[in-house]
Amino acid sequence: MPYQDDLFYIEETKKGDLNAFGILIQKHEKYAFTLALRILKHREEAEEVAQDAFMKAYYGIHSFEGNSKFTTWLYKIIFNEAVGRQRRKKNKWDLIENEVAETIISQDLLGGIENLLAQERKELIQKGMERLKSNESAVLTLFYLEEQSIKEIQEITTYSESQVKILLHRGRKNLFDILQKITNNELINLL
Amino acid sequence: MNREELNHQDQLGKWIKESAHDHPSINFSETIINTIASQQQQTIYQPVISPIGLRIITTCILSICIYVLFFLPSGESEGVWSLKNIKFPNIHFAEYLFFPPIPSSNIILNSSLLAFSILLFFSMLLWSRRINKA
Repeated sequence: MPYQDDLFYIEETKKGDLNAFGILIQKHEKYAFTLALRILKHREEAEEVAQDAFMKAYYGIHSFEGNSKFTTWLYKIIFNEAVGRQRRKKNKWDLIENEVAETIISQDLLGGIENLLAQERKELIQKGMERLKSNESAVLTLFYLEEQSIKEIQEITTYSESQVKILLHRGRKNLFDILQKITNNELINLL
Repeated sequence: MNREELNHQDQLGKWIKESAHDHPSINFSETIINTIASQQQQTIYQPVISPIGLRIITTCILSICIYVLFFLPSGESEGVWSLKNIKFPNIHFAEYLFFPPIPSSNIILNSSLLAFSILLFFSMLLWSRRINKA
């Protein structure tokens, strides 16, 4: 279904058209759900959080003035909802350590992943993302999958620029480590 | 950041994009819309007296209070601050202890019949209007 610009649906929703908001949900539900899932790592909870976030967005849509992208505004609500739930559940949110170890990635790993079938590679990356720390997978998802800029990620997460960069760097490194472990285990299982 | 690291990032970014978004349940958006619609349909009780009406009533009551307290001529007393000077009149309660004369039974009967016929007339009128509407 070809969608129109977000602002069109927002204006219609502000006029009271609930169907317009329904289309807006359909347009962004995958993105919203994926971000919530990357943070919470639990499908049912992620769905609940994404639904709550959309409800909040609906009731607060009159306060959206269009100064930033709708997605940035929506992701901010989702991020806060998910982190709030994570905090209540675990009573802690992953701290950002400033030290970043040097990334040493073997060419064998890269070549091995590249040679996998697309479906296998997709499953492997998803497994890796599930095992990453919540804040690292959230930032990686926002940066690569949702294609948000570092400035937009800063706005969504309220992290500083350096914290976002650290999380991106460490997330990439840890993801490679996890992928290495997964592929090694699979190789061991095969032998 | 060296060239090799950039290449790794490009590859990782490509794979993450390739891994695509996760899908929520089929009725995800429907659930949200239904919840919002049901919340909007809930009965909202509004006050019988509007805010403007309340202000008017409050103003009236306040003005009456102010008039009674400060402007009502009260004999020797000159206001609320001179209450200690008020001299209460001597009331002889014996003067008020009387029973009003009881009207004759004819008057009671006539007035009852009149009230009953008025009520009957209005109830018939309302009933006929209801039948016409139906």
